[in-house]
Amino acid sequence: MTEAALSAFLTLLQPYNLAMLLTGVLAGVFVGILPGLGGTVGMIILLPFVYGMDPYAALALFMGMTAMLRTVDSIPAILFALPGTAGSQATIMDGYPLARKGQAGRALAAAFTASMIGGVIGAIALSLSLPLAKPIISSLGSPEFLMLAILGITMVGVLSGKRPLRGIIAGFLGVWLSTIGGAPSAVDLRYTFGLPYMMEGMPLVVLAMGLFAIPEIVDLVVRGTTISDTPGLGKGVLNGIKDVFRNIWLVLRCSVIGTFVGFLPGMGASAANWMAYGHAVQTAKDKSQFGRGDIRGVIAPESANDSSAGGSLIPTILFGIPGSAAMAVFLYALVVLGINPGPTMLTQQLDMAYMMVWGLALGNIIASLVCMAISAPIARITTISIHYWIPFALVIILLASYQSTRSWGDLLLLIGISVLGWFMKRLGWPRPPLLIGFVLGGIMERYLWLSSMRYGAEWLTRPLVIVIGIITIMSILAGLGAGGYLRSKFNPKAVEDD
Amino acid sequence: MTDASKMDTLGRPEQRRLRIQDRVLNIGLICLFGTAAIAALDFSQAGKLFPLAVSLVGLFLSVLQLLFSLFGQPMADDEGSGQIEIAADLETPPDLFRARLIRFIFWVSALFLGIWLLGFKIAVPLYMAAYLRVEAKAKLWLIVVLIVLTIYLLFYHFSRVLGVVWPEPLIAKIINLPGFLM
Repeated sequence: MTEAALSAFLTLLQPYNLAMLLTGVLAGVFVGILPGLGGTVGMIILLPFVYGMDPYAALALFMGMTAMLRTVDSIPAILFALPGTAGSQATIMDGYPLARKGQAGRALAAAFTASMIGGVIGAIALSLSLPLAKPIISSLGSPEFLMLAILGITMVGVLSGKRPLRGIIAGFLGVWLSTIGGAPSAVDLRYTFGLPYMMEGMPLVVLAMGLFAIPEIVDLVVRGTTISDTPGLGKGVLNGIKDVFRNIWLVLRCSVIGTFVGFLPGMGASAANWMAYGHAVQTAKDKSQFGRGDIRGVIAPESANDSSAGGSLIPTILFGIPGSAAMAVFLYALVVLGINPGPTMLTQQLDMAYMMVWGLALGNIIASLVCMAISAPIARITTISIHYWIPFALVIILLASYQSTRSWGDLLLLIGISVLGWFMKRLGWPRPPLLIGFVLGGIMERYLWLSSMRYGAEWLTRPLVIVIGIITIMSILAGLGAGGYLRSKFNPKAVEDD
Repeated sequence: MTDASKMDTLGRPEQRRLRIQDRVLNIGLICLFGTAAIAALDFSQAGKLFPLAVSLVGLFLSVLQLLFSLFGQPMADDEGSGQIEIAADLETPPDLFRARLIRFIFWVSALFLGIWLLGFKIAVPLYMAAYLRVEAKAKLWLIVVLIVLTIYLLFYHFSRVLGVVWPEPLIAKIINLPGFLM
């Protein structure tokens, strides 16, 4: 095994393979910085180029792109509140307010440093998992996956601070929206109103753009200023790097969360991103600045976002189970390259597996350095009058949304969701739980159906299900402050007296 | 400044308006979840279980929230929407707020109307030029640079690299547009 790891490392360092890794990294800048394109599009763009290519060089190219996409996506998230990919949604929550305070450089530097550490941890996890992953993943069935999704949803209560009820309702709205379209377990077309567009369900990109991007643009327009409230970037970059090392345990914990969530098929970077954010809020002593520009709100999701890349590769290359749409495209690319994903990789093509490990680790380091170099000039955009970039941002949002299913429905839905998102923001209804509910809703229903079909009601008695269930209940109680919230609603004085 | 203190800076009519809007949104959610629950009854047994359960729980919680809103603490005493929401701007004077909002809605409507009438490839560069000239008072060279960038995105990145097929504009049904503009 050590021999294979060393051989793969030396292969990666060959000039051609290294050049391919760099090409992937640089190509990732352009795909990741355009909101809505994301990992799947990035992988699709590379596909036509890898036919007939040397498999090692092609793997370097893909790993470079994967690493960069998960790093550079924080630039539009922090500067313009536009999620570059699904994995940077939670980064907006504190990254964007930091940019508005004139600390864009700090937020970006922290995001890139956390991404680099997270990415390397993800690669290490992938490396360690090669001999260990099989028994772990085999012990988890659909009931455990279902419970993990439920645990993710209950975090919305914790995330919603002093308004947990609104947060939970928004979460349920998201879950309900995920039921639109074809049912996974039946032939029903649900809540489509007879519209062919709705049959495939609601595209995540349109929902994310409508909920976050447009309302933030409207907010900026009515304020009539720049994104940043203060001129200049401040002592950003160095402080951002220091922030990461000051919160190194948070980075490590969130990287582990990201790796684990990424490793679970169907969960993906988006769920990892939000769960890490939830963990940061949950474990912070002073929660008052979250949502208003707390650097931990940038560090946590970004470390999880990048580490989830390593995690998502585990089921893809070891079992041939893609954990996300991007991984499905990557799986196809592996087959095209003559690589057989699955357990045989551990016996016959181990050097290929290690090539991915090294490619991901090195790719993350290069990607973070490249992003760090371009962050300062890019962050200056936030000090320019909003009217210079608003039409461009609007067009990018429209194009990214239209890219989802390429129909008028995308644009009309974008308008509807934007109106909802803007009212939610203005009236104090938290929007992130809606998105979390939407991401996890589809996963929940699918695993609920699989669990019921396979185990009947007995799935509820599985030991791991019970353990996750207890953690879930504790999470709900933590979210409601063990009843303090409900008491305060009807008798505020009682809580003050407490 | 907290959201609560920002709310205090708003006039009473504005606070009242926000409270009414909040309840309208809440009632809207009740109607949505209620309708969804009723509609779910028509689905097959396997297809209805999950959406029905979600709709009923959502309905119950929305009613509970409305009761809190009507009989619990007033909204101004709350502290925003929790730790995970980007704080909304409540400092702009209401009149200015409305004027800017209406102006922005006009621009967005114009863009959508333009796309419907002329298509993406014609409407988007025209919109960019108009917005940058009227709202940003941008210099001509900057307008040209941004439009070139937009044209690159529309004609090369999206059309050729990603193979996006744009919707047929209304004008194409009236006159024969050259293929590259479609």
